[in-house]
Amino acid sequence: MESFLGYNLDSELMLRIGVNLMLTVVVLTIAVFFFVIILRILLLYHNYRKEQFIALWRPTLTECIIGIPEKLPTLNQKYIHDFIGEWNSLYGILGGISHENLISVAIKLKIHVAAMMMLISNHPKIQLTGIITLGNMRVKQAWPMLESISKSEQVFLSIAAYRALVLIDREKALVDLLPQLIKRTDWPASMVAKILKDIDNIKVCELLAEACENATQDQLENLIQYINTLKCTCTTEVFRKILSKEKDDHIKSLCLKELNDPLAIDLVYKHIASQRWHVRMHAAVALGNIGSKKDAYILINLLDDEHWWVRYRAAQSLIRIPFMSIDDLLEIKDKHKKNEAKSIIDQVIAEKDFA
Amino acid sequence: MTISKFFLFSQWFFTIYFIALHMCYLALNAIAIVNIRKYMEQHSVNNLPNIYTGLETPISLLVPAFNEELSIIDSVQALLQLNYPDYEIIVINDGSTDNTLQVLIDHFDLKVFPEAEYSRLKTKQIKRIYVSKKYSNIRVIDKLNGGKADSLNAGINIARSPLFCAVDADSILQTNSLDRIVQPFIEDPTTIAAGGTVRIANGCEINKGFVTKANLPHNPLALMQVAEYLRAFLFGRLGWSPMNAILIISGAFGLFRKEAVIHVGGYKTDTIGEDMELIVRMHRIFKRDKKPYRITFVPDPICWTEAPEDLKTLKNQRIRWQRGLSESLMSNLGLMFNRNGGVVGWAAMPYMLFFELLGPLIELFGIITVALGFYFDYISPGIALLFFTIAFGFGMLLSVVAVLLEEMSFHIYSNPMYVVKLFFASIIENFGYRQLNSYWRMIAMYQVITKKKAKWGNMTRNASWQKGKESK
Repeated sequence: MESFLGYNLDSELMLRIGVNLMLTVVVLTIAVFFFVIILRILLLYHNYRKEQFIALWRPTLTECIIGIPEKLPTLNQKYIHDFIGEWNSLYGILGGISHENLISVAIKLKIHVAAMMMLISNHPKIQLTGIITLGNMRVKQAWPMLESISKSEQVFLSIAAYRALVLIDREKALVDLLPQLIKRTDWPASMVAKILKDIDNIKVCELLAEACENATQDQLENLIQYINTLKCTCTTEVFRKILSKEKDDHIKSLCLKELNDPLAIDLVYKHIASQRWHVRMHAAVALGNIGSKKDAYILINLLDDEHWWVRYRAAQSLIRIPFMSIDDLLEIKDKHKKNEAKSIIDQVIAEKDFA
Repeated sequence: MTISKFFLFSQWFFTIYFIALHMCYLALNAIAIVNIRKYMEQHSVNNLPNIYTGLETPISLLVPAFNEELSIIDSVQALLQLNYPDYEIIVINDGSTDNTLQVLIDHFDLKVFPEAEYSRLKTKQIKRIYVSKKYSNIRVIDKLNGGKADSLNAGINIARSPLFCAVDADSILQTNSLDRIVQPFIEDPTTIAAGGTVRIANGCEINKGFVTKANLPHNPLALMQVAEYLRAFLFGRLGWSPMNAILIISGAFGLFRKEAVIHVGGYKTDTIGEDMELIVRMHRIFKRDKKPYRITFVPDPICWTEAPEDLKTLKNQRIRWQRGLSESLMSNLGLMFNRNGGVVGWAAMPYMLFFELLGPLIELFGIITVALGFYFDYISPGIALLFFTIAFGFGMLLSVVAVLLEEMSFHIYSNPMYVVKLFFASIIENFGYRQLNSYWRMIAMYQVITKKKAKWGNMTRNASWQKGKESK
């Protein structure tokens, strides 16, 4: 037991190492315990302080639903972050005139100054809170700083800054910053769509349609999704152009997905014979939107398509075609030789009954 | 080899093994701490008002049910209340012998629906498909018994959404769970699977199918499992996630891209750990096909599940898990040390093989050998102390760090006394409970070697902890 691989193992040395290691583990465990306790005490203190703050400020802020409170309690600096948190959550819940009242209260308390300071924090969470607050308060002076953050590479901060800019001045944000929004393919499409929905402006659709002209593949994909989400009606011509020129099947699918333009019927006919199943499927949906009874035979041909989703959407589209009755569908079913077609017709008829 | 040489070799082999094991744990811990801080900061953007845009990806919730007549209605009712704009619920009645189907028919006004066949994954025969007249987003598949994996495959076949979420019928999701777990799919389109945190529901207050207050269980076995789950999820999963090397997404709660799962052949029906096997296979096949992909873990969507409160059920569960681990690793062994294996093939799989699969055997054998060596004076007190400090002390330290991680992030347990209780449970579970687990896992290994047929055993889930707790 004295040596191992040529090393001399002094038992006492090992014992010493063992004891020291054990003591270290015990000390570290105790340290972790105290750290946990300290964290919990801090949390309790934070909650206690928040409760006190809420007891003082929530009734005052709630008054903003009906008007601007005449007397405001003094806002202690230590409560400033709690106030901003509470103010933002109330802002998110309320709407209309309450927003104006809340903004007036925040301006009286010079919250925008504190929020501007938060922008230069190193802590992303604090920065984010500052960005959201400045946007909600529509602080015009914050524009340059927010614009600079909106161009940064940090996805969440930049998108939050963009949203704040839209809230501050939607016209300016639209004209000055839409090109940037289009280029940012790293921004999650659903978040951008939220912002665009907030803008709720016909001009957005026009600008998005214009942007499609020179967009890259990735950008185009996002742009079409936004256009579909906003249900823009001014983009039909652009979509026709894309469908006639575009080679990418995914982009074509996206264009066909919500297509409701009777002038595009020839393009739909063309795509219904696509090699790609999802293009055929969306073309079938589009035909259901814009086709007439004379187009039924095209959809009937898709009822035995090799892909289930194409069969299903074709059957659904058949039902939607004007003047197509359930009896017509049952007749189609009887005449069709393929079981796939018969069963998919049964399914959509049952769905219609359930609806 | 003489006895003294055997003990000499053993003392160093096991000491070095435990040092390596705890170094790995330590590294995972460090990654998890950095990762959780980053996650908390990034996702404070959730403060933005939640307006749904229509770009949210629809989700199919797949709920396999076998003899769940007592709980299935509450489970589905709770799922109906989730905050998500577009989801459907598909309950798969896997040949239940009780009244599971009938209670579903009665409660949700189910009618037989002539769903056109769309079988991309092979399953046991589907008898009927039902649609609810009350809720248009509920469908029920009635099929011949084929097990959980087979049920999930049947659900995938008829799921209409590009993402599906496998949920256990006896689990409870938080209302915002889907909103949270879908985020990786929005942020990174190459995401093919995401797992959420699973926590122990024993002792919690439940109201209308949701956990309204997180409490700790009184049952000591369940309490140990709370500490164990904390460690497994908070640093086990979080540690591997940034390296795209997660090998387990719990079967109780995971979100998957349907086409990716179909691409790899769906759930394997002849394995007992179908959830882990699927993830390992996804890694293997996506790497083989050189397709970009991401499998990730999201810490804050929580799924609450009932933990076994008796030794027999716990033993069955652990044997099943260990056998599942063994089957998953063995059937995808080609990924390990593969040229294209990346972190999964070169780190996660060897870690799982040497520390998780063979670990119990080595741990128990090590403890017994060093104890015997010390008793018969073949091993010096210094080495023995060093060994036991590393074997038990480091384990204890890592367990309490998991409590710290919880305290730094989510503070699920609001009662301060629970934190203290959890802290001590984390210490105590290292003395006895872990070794018992190792013993059961060794039994599982023996069963694998002797090719004993796997069985699910009776999972006693009577929710006794819940009785009287359900708020009115």
